[in-house]
Amino acid sequence: MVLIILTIVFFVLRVLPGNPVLAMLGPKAPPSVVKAMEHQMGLDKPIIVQYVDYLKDIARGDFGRSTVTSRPVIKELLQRFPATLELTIFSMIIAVLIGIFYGTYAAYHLGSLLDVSARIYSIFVYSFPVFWFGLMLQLIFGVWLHWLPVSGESSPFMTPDHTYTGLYVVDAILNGQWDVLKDSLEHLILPSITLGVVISSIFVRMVRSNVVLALSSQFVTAARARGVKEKTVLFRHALKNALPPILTIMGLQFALLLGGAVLTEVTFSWPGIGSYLVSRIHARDFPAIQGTVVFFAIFVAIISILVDVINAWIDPRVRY
Amino acid sequence: MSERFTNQMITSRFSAFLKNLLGDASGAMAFAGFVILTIFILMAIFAPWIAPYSPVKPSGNPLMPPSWHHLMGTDNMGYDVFSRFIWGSRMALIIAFIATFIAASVGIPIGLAVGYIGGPIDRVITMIMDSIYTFPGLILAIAIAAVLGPGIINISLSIAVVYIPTYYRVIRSQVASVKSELYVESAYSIGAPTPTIIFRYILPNVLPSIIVVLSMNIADAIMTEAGLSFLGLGITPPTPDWGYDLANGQQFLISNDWWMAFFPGVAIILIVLGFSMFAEGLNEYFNPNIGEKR
Amino acid sequence: MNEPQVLIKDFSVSYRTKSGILQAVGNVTLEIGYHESLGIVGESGCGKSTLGVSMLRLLPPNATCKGSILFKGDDLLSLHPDQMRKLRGSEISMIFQDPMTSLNPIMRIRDHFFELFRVHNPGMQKGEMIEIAKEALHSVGVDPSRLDNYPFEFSGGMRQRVMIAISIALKPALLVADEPTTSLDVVVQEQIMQLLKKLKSERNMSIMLITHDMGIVAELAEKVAVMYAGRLVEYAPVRQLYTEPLHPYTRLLLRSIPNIKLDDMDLKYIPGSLPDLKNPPQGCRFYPRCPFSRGVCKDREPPDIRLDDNRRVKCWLYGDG
Repeated sequence: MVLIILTIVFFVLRVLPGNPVLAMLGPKAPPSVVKAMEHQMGLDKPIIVQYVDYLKDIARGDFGRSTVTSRPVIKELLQRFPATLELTIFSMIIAVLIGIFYGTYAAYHLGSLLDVSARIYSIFVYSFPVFWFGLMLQLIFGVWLHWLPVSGESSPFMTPDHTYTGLYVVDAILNGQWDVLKDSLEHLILPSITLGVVISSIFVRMVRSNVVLALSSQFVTAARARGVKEKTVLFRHALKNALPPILTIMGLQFALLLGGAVLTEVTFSWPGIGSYLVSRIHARDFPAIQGTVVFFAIFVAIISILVDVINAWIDPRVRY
Repeated sequence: MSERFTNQMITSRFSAFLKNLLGDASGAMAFAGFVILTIFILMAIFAPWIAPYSPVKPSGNPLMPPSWHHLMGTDNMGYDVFSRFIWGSRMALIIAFIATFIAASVGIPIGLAVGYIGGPIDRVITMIMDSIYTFPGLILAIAIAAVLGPGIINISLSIAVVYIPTYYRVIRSQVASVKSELYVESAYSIGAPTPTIIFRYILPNVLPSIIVVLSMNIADAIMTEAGLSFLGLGITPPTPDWGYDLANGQQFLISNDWWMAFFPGVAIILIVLGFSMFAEGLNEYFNPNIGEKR
Repeated sequence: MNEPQVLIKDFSVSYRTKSGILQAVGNVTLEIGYHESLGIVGESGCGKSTLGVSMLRLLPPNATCKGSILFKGDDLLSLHPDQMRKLRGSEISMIFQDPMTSLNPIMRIRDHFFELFRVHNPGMQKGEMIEIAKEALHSVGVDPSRLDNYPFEFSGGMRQRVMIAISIALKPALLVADEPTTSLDVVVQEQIMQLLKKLKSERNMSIMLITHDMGIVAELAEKVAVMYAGRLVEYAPVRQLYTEPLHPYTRLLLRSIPNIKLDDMDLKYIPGSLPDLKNPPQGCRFYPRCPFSRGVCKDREPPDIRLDDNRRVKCWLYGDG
């Protein structure tokens, strides 16, 4: 899958109209300079050779150099990646928690007000533009209430002393710096709620319908017939069996999450690879754009493998 | 005589259908969605007549909060937000429709053909389509839009590419299942030529799900377009566009000038709701979920 | 023991549906003695499954009950939910029709047992739990070392045995078996029936066997109750039911069993169909299909006529009640 995306990105960025060199140097550059640059960038070689070089470079971890900062793209990406990871993880946690609890209880009380509200919630919140929701939260919690900051990952001088993971929240804990932890969390809350709530709309619906299905199966009745407590029946029997299809969906939704992350990062000036991508696009920095898209592709591929592994762990039938 | 009778039959059957539809929860949802999306389509078509002011010419002092003169206030250029609200529907709908049209025109035929032929071509193309499908759509659209540049057609194309696999998959799976149905086999055995089989037998059975997918897709496309414009990759200002207005409105939040960011978002929510309620409702009405008490 | 273990008195169940109220079981009075096996027979939709599920008080939320079900003197219907829950699996157990879907597919067999034990006997040590589980598996003819297997690793017949093992592990006094052999092939059916017979005598438990198969009823039941359209129409010891069926429905049922010894080539069936349970008729529910009906049958429902201690019929043919 990664290979296909790489290929598509390659062709999109090379074959489509728009000479990247001209974009870099400006339309007034003398043709000889343009030619020299093209040669230096390897753009005058036949397409096939360029393609192979491109693949070889990526395999080596060489994503090219940014035309704006002249630093290796891969370095810039890795520097900003932890921020995106932090946002993604926390948003996912929020989305999953809302999805599982709201969805499961709604399924259990089928037809009740809770259930109806869950269905309305999933359709309504799904229609929220992530960036609009973020702006509204900024308005309410940042401007009106002054409770939370509205941009950035941290306040000045409030970064962890020692970098273990790159995730400010984790590093702050590992460093024992509680003031940094508080500051990081304050900055993290709004963006992750923004993204998490919007994504949760899908999860609520998925969990609800799968748990409804599981609750009507024979083994749930059989479990009740053995005297098992309702709560156990709901969570260990119904929900756990409903999980495999839910997990697969959650894995697929990860792609949606990443798209939303880009928008969220821009809205909150969150220094991740999403906002990096957008700023590079405005700067016409093609190597960086290409590198970032490739990076996203690899990230998504890794996550899908992870989801498959988790699925096998939960459902023994998959393993055999 | 029989013509009038047929007409009567059609209208009474139609009204019976409507009554049934409205009585059912999902049917009512589909209907409500239909009403909303129709309102927006009409809004887009009749924008010049409905909007009180021009969306691209200042009609008042800038940054004025909502008032009777300007129901949704004015933005930093003095444009009436309400008028931009109305005119914005044009951009959203035009791009969404074009993008969906392109995606469907490419995805459906390929899906039909590949689904029918099967074999190694099926595997290869499906693999390609699946890769695009699982990759974050917005990021792909961003990347393509970055290369193509602004403009209605370009943006529509960027969005279309993201959704081609959607149509491909739906059609292909439907074709695969319909293909093995008995009536197709019998058509085949009486020597019906391939195109006939595809168009007369397979396609009509595959059509209903297309409407649902189309509607859902338009909702997604509108959202993606808004996202692109928000990021500055969409149409050029000062064309009225909800996504762009949202981005523009962000800087004024801090001074509590909230209406520029609020109303365009509401527009997006409503129109997306309309299309998705229509799709959802229709889908559940025609294939109700098992396990739900009916 | 003079008191029966189970006494169902004037018991009715109605379901609230979108299209009206459906009375699935109407005014049924039955008893099951200690260590006795009662067969409940009838065609699909006669209410026998509802009756079975009611014994465990596992009816869906849209069901309403009237009457009482006395188990060892206590009315199950008026017990606190937690008290009822404690009875399930330990005093009263149920086995279901489809062994494929009655076990949790992602739980090992031993976990099914452990869960059961932990619910009813929190202090039990793991070693003891394994002992009892293995013993239960052994008594149903399943290799005890298969405790660690998952349900999908068993065949249909084996799964049903496992299901039975779990249900009897805590030595319940009453076992409700809802169509336990219906989805199994004939050979396995026979094995399961033999197993149930053996368990009944070994463990002194009573069985409520719910089925539409007159054949297995003859094998296992001591007494039989025939149900039609939610009503109990005949109750008799098994031999008498088969040799002297009283109710017309019972007679037609028995006659419709193909007999390989007779040379008759036609399959006999009962013409007509079940009444609409949302709009039940005024008179006897079997009236439209009954070849022996009289005028009164159309207007009034027949009363329960007690011919003997163990013999009851609900039919105008046998008196006025």
